[in-house]
Amino acid sequence: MSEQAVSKRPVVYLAEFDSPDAIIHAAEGVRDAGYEKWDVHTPYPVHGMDAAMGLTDSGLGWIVLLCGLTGVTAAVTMIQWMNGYDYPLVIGGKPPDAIPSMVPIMFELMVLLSAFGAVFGMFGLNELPKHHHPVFYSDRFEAFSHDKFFVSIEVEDKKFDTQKTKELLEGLHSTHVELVEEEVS
Amino acid sequence: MSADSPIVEIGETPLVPAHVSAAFVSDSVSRVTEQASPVGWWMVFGVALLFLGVLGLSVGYLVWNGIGSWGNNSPTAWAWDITNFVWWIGIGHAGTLISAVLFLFRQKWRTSVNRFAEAMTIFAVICALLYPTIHVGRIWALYWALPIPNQMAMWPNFKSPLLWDVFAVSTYFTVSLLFWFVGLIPDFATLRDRAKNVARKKVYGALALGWRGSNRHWRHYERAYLILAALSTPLVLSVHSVVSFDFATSVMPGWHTTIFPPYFVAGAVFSGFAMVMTLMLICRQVYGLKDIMTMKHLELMNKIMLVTGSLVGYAYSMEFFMAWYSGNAYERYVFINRATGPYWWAYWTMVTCNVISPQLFWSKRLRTSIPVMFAVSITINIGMWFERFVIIVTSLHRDYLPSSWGMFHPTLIDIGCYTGSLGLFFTLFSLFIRWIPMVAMFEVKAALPGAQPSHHHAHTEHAEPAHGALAVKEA
Amino acid sequence: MSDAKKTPDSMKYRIPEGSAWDGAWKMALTVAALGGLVALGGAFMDPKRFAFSYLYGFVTVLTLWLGSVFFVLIQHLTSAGWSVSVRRASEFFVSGVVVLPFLFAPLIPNFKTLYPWWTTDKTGVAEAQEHAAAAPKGEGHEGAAVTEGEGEHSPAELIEEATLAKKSAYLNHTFFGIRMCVYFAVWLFLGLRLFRYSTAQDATRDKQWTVKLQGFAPVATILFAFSLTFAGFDWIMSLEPGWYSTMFGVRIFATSAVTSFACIILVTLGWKRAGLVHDEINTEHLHDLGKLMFGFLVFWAYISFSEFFLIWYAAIPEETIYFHRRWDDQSWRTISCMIVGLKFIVPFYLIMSRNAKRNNGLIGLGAGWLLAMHLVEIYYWIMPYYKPHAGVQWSGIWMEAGCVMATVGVYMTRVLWNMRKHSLIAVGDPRLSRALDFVNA
Repeated sequence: MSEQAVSKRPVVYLAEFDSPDAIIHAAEGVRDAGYEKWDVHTPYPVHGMDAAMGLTDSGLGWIVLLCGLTGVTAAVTMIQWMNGYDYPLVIGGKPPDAIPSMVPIMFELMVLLSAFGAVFGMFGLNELPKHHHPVFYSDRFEAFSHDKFFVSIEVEDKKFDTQKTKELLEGLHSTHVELVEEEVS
Repeated sequence: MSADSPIVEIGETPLVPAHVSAAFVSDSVSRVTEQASPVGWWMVFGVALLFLGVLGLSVGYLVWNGIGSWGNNSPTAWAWDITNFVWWIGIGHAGTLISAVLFLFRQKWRTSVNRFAEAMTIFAVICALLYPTIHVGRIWALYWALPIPNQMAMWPNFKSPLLWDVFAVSTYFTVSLLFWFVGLIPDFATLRDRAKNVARKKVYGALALGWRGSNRHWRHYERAYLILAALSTPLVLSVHSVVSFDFATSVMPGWHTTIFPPYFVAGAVFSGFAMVMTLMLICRQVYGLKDIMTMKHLELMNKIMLVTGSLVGYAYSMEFFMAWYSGNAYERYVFINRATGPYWWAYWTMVTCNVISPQLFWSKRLRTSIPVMFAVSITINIGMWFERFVIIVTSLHRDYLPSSWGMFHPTLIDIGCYTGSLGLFFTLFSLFIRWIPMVAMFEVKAALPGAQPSHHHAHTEHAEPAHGALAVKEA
Repeated sequence: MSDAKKTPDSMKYRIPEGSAWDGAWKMALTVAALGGLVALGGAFMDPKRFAFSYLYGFVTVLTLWLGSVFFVLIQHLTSAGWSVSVRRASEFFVSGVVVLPFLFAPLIPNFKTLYPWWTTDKTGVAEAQEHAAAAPKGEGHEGAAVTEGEGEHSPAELIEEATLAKKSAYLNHTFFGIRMCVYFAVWLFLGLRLFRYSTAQDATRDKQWTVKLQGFAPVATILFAFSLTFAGFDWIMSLEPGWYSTMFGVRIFATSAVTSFACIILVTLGWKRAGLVHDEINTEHLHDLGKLMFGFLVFWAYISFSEFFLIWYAAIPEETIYFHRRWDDQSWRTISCMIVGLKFIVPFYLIMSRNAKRNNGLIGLGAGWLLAMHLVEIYYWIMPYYKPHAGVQWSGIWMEAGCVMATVGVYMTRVLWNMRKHSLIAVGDPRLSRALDFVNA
């Protein structure tokens, strides 16, 4: 791709930090400055970061509960219809619609569907997979999966101002601040 | 200074040496997948492939000629096939235990071991699934076990423990795979970001799903991980319980006993830890990961083996006591026959390996000795195979009527199907070691000393009561 | 030491004079006295029912105690740091061990009423007479009750004498008595040692106590497991001497564990409400206790269901009798269903969510609920043997209430008394700062 053919526009401000204490302090700073479209990137989950960023509790549990109940219902319906109604089977002297023998499969289907809910629900809430994101344009960003910590503030944010945002990030003792640009064809 | 630092006076030691940093973890773990494999790897892989070939031939022969190629015959209609199935499923359980139960109990040391153990779970379950599949004889009719509308207008019998097995084991496999993959996403991102060539970048990049360590993601990710752990814990109990139902629901002395479900689970965890130990001792040696999988990890695992071994011992003693206490002639006979009948050697091998050998770990010197723990871990694996053999074969070989008594003699195909499954397991395991980070890097990093902000900071500044995690102050 | 500022002194967490907790033991004693009077009245009116009612009361206390021992042991086994600030709550319950032998004593003259095998055992006739002599008052009534009940009271008709004869090597008077002594010896040893070592650390701060407790825990656990199991076989399972289940010990253990978590939660909430402790026991600890209570509730359900399920599936008459006794009659069936619905399903949903476990009111409600259901469950274990085939005898239920009040009251008097004498938090434990810093990640 030739450099001249495309113009560039800024998409995100990226600030790099060295330690968990520094990043949590920085996150509190950005939160208190009132930004909304911003994020923190860490090699591992940092305790207390949700509060530092002002995030609410994850709602994933509700999705999982719904899926689990669906699993139980599906198991009961399937077994009762197949063995109790459509083709009643009397095995081992047990009535066709015996309840205790349904329990193992009720449980397994509950777990199976709940697990699907947890994993795919998490993908849905996180909008994954998503292979394109402006932060990946930065060469330094790769270190996030190694041992560095980043704050990213998107240009889209209402409070974004190239100069002020830069000052804010520098004021938070960032080791490196970078305006990431995107190529526009 | 942190409250988490070890208190030497009460015998606590640091989990990892001081020089282990986040960067050290990424480097030393990723390196294994980035460099050419050592000779040892090729040797293991070569031998494993050889045995995989044995498995292929044995299974091919079996499918072509029928189940008669095994030594199973009336009265021992079940023998090595189910023994191997239960053995492998049991080995798988340690993975889920380490990743889920120890996670819920907040045992940080699990982070060095869990990836490894989860991989083992998945491969062990694959090996286990082989046996029910081939023992149906006509494997092309296997789908009859599933509730699929068919030309006979019949449905599977949902009161059959064997059908519960189908659901339990396949659920277990699926959930373990999901759990494993979810845990791998951030580590795939590390491999992607370290990749030097396009192929690696593309493959690991695709697997990493575009992970960018976002805290907005971590929030849901951690919750998903917690929920998966909370689901896997009862799941792992249910799987081996359902396996135990295969035996315990029947009216068969020595099989029908109510303690079977938890007893099978304890035995499963026990054998699984032994297998993890065997593999870990080899890998940390070959790949120089002694700073990440430290002696303290090994010691803790030995303690768990001592606990689960004792639980198994408790179950053995309950079975024996109840058989006597019940006053039921058949129950009493089965247990006396186990200990003194034609299979006495199997029974005493089981007791020696499972109950007596782990008792060595009461001694600190022995449980921190690599040769001892290696020997004990192998002994336990042997013992747990014999446990299943004893339960299955000794109960069957003495039917109610002496005219229906018989012995079990394995054939060459029996032996091939068993040793071959070890080939399948080690083939998969070698490939895993070669291409996938064998330690959960992000979890180890998160648990390193100094990896988390100091609590003082988190507690005092800007704690917003609305955001649950820190709303701890009483009015 | 940098932690010094965080380590509170040993007098900080003492119950101040005049606090409600200071006089609570008097309340417990009053309850015990009232219950004792009711029970005594019952013993005269219906000695047979009294025997079962009192066993019911004793088992309620025993399970509560066993669960508390388990909690303390598991903390030492795993060297848990998070739980240090709540461990003492459970240790107080452990310290109540001294009253157990006294609480058990009134059962001794009632063995022949309770255990059908006691009268068929020919080996110990002499001792039976001895016991009878030891309790001359109740003798006439009890003897009459046993003979009266013989017609409907049924083990003899259901279980052949032959089966009992085969068990006589285990179920006989002498061995039963020896085992009883062994259990109490083991329990006194465990309970006193666990409590004394831990309280000794309060003042001295000597870390060696932690080392000793951690060294003691594995041995203690083995003793605990076997004494619990066999005491359960002896005192509960042998009410139905023909019946047997290898899972029985595990079931007792599971119920006990759930109950003890409920007790710890209620006690710590009570301390907090009274302002005796503040942030030392916070939402994080309650959340964790809630998780454990929930986890063991599920474990209990798993164990109980598996046991029922295997017996139901195999349908061997000598095993199914246990559940027939609790299902064939409509009133017992109601109680069986209550246990499924109200001891498992309702609390399962009540305390499942994270928010419920982090809410003092809800987790307290869950704990109280489970404790109440524990009373129902023990009732379901013991009382079907009072009048088999006759349904729940609602009209005399005051006698069970009296016995529970008496036994629990005496036990709690001791527990609450000890609370006045010691720090409410294990201030000497070197890992206390870890518990204070603890956050659920």
